[in-house]
Formats: sequence, C-alpha cells, structure tokens
Amino acid sequence: MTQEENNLIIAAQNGDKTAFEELIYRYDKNVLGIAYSYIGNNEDAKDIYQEVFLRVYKGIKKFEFRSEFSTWLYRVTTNVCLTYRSQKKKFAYSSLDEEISDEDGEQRSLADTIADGESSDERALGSEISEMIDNGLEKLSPQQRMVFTLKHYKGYKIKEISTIMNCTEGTVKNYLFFATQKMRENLKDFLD
Amino acid sequence: MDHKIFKEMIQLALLDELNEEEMKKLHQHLIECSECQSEYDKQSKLFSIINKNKKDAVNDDLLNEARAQFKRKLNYDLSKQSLLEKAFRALRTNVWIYRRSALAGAFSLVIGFLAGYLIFSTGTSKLNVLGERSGAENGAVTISNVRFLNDSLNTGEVEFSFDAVKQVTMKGKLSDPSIQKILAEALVNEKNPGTRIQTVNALANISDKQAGQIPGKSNLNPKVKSALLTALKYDGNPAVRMEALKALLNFPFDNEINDALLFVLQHDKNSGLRVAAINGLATAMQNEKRIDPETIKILNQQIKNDDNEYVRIRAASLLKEGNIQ
Repeated sequence: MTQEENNLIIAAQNGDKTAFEELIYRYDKNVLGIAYSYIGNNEDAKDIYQEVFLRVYKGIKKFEFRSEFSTWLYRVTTNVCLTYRSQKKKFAYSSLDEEISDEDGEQRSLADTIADGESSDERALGSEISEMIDNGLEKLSPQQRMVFTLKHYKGYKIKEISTIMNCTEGTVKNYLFFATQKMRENLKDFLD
Repeated sequence: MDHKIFKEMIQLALLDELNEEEMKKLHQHLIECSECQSEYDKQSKLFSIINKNKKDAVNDDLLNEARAQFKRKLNYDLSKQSLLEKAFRALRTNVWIYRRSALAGAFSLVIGFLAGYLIFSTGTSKLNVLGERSGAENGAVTISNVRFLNDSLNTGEVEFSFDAVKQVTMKGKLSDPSIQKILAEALVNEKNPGTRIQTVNALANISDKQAGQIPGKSNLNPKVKSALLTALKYDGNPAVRMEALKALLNFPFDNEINDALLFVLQHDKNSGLRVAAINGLATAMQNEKRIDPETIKILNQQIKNDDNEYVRIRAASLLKEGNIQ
C-alpha cells in the first residue's frame, strides 16, 4: 500500500466522500470483473458491485491496515458473490435505476460476446460450449465456483485466492481439482 | 509418486502453479508415461476451451453504469441515515428502558416517535409545506423494510433500520438553499428520467441566476453543482446529461467543470454530448484565452480515435481556434 493510498483510506475513514471515490475507483473495475465472471450477467454484476461498495463504505472505519486494502476489498467481493445467489431477493431492492439497463445493457453485451470474423457455425459451437461451461459451474458449490472464477477467469495465483477467501492453499487446490473434474464431465464430447 | 499425484501436478503446471523443480519432475514423468502424456493433452485442451470462453468482458460503459447506480444508492442511504440519526438522538435523550420485557414497547414507541417527528416537525426550514398525503388511514408515514441490527437483551436497547416514506408537497423560491438541496438530491436519486430533466431544468434556472454573483457571496447550495456534475457524468439518460451540461456552463468555469467536460468527451457514447462538451471547452477557452495541456492532449486523442467524424472535426477546429498544433 502506498502512502497516497493510506492517506485516501484515512480520509475516507473520516467521512471524505471524494477520497472514498478516488480510493474505490482504483479497484472497482476489478471488483466488477470478478462479479461479472462469477455471476455471468451485467445486471447481477452491477448489483454485486453496489452491495460490495456499500459494505466497504460502512466498514471502512473498521479497516485497521492489517492487510492490503485490495485484499480486504476482494474478500468483501467474494463474500458478497458467495451469498448473492442465496440472498438474491434480499439484494434485489438495491437495483434502483432500471432504465439505465434498458438503454445500454443487453444488446451491446450480446454483440460484444460475438467475436468479429467468426462464422455462424463457430458462433453456434462457441455458444454451445459456453452453455456447457455454465452448466458445469451450476453444479459447483459457491466456493468452488468462486475459486474457479478467480483462477481461470481472473488469473489469480492459488496463494492469493487462499488469502482472499481466507482458506488454506490445499482447500483452494481441492476446489480447483473438483471444478476441473466437473468441467471435464460436461465438456467430454469436445475433448475426445 | 502415483499417477493421481502426477495428474494433479499436470493441472497445476497448466495453471502456472508449479515451481521449477516440480516442473522438471513432471516433464521427466511425462516422457516416460504415455497415460499421463495423454492426460496432459486432454487437460491442456480443456483449459484452452475454458480460456477461450471466459467471461471477463467488463467494459467502461458497464463500469460507469455500476458507478452511477452505486452513487445514487449511497446518496439515498446517506440522506435516509441522517434522518434516522436525528430521530434516534432525540429518542436517546428521552427514552431509557432497560427491562427485557420492554423491548416490544420500545419498538412501538420508536415507530410512533419517528412518525410524529416526520409529521409534525417543521425544523428551522422556511419551506412552505402545502400538504402531506398518504394512502394509509392511520398515519401519514409508510414504514417498511424493518430490519433488526441489534437487539441486545442485556442492555434493553434495540437497534433497527427501516424505510419511512411520506408524500410532501412543497412550495418555495429557487434561491432558497433548502429547496436547492432537495432538487439536487432529486437529480441524483430520482428514478424517473422525466422528473430528472425537470429537476435539472429547475437547477439550470438557479445556476443561471447565480452565475453573475461575486464568488464566495453566492447563495447557491454546493450540492447543486455536485449533483449536476454527477448527472453529467453518470446519468443513464442522455437528455438529462445534456441538460446538466448546459446548466453547468452557466456556472463560473473551473477545474471541476473542465474535468467533467473532458470526462464526457472521452467516455460518453453519445456523440451529441461529446460535441457539446467540446463547445463548452471552446466557450471557456474564449473567455479565459487559454487552454490547458491536459485538454489539448485529450482533444488530440479524440481527433485520432473518436468514431464520430463531426466530433473529430470539431475537436480539430477547437485546437485550430486556439492556434494549437
């Protein structure tokens, strides 16, 4: 953590909203990336983003510099993601501005998922594979799914994941091996 | 080592999690064991498929939407919190109940107290409250979403949060800072884009009248400018953003407005707004007879990268107007 970041945290702890914004804008793209990779759609990812930063805003006074701010932030993010599915209805009230999504959301993201130059057959195959990966992810526990997301989609090291998720490296490896096994079963037809 | 361990090592190797020594050991084994070699190929193919289909497409538009949504929610929560803080402060000075059996009574009392506070308290505001309406026959305040935060039986205290909603009609002058504050909050928190446009137009009227005042002597609530800046950068509706931009140009031009215009120029996907931002920068340049290096840099970027031809032309003409190469 840099001195500049420490100063921002202290200012945010003293109620400086501008410092809080500056602080979170250093990491919020990554937070949204984790949420999106984990949950798989824009609206839920934005919902998770909101919940994460509301918790961080409420909890920043209790941050005691015992870990990196980013580690603490990503731990909050994974906790929100892990409980999101089961508590989805509880968080639903957080979505305040639905017209934004009407204006900007689904069409663009759908277009973004289709790479230029791909034939319709390739797109259909890609879509089928994506569906099978999603099915595989559905069979995992929230923790296994999160480990899979952080490793395969976000590229974190096992050691970092264990710190973020507050568990041992052995547990992370076990989650990964299990998740890989499930994916192999689901994608069997494409591997042979 | 048995094959199971090597199979796990294969996964870790493909995920770049083995050290040099472990990698050597694995390579040696793969040379000798066709079963593990085949496993390596399958695993490699699996990870390649997963990697090709990974979901990490977070673009700036989604990020800006998430930021705007969060900002609205935070402002809403903070305004709610300050109301509750007042109510609880008043409650603490008047009510001290320690008995366990009184918890339910305390809860009812708090609800009643807050309802009374909301209905009868006029505070120090000079606002002309014309009327209050509610569908509930037994009170003007609708209370919902009660959530217990702490109900310690030992101290006899109870802590909870809830939403208290009351419809109020107000009339007041736009120059009244309290009216300005409410409008500023409405601009950031209101869901309906039509209402936000009406609000921003009202705020534009305020800023227009205040613009000629001597700096430091203005009666303008600082939240007005802050709300307009937030709306310009993050509102989901382009018409609201455009009105916010026009309103801000009525304020004395400063770094905050300059930064907001540059933000729009770089990030707003509406080309009309990007052109309006350049026009705003042009007006400021004409008044101040100068243009700062950051603005020049961003204008040059837009000349090269903007996907709209008119934006590119307008950016180039602004640099030309300022005799900047």
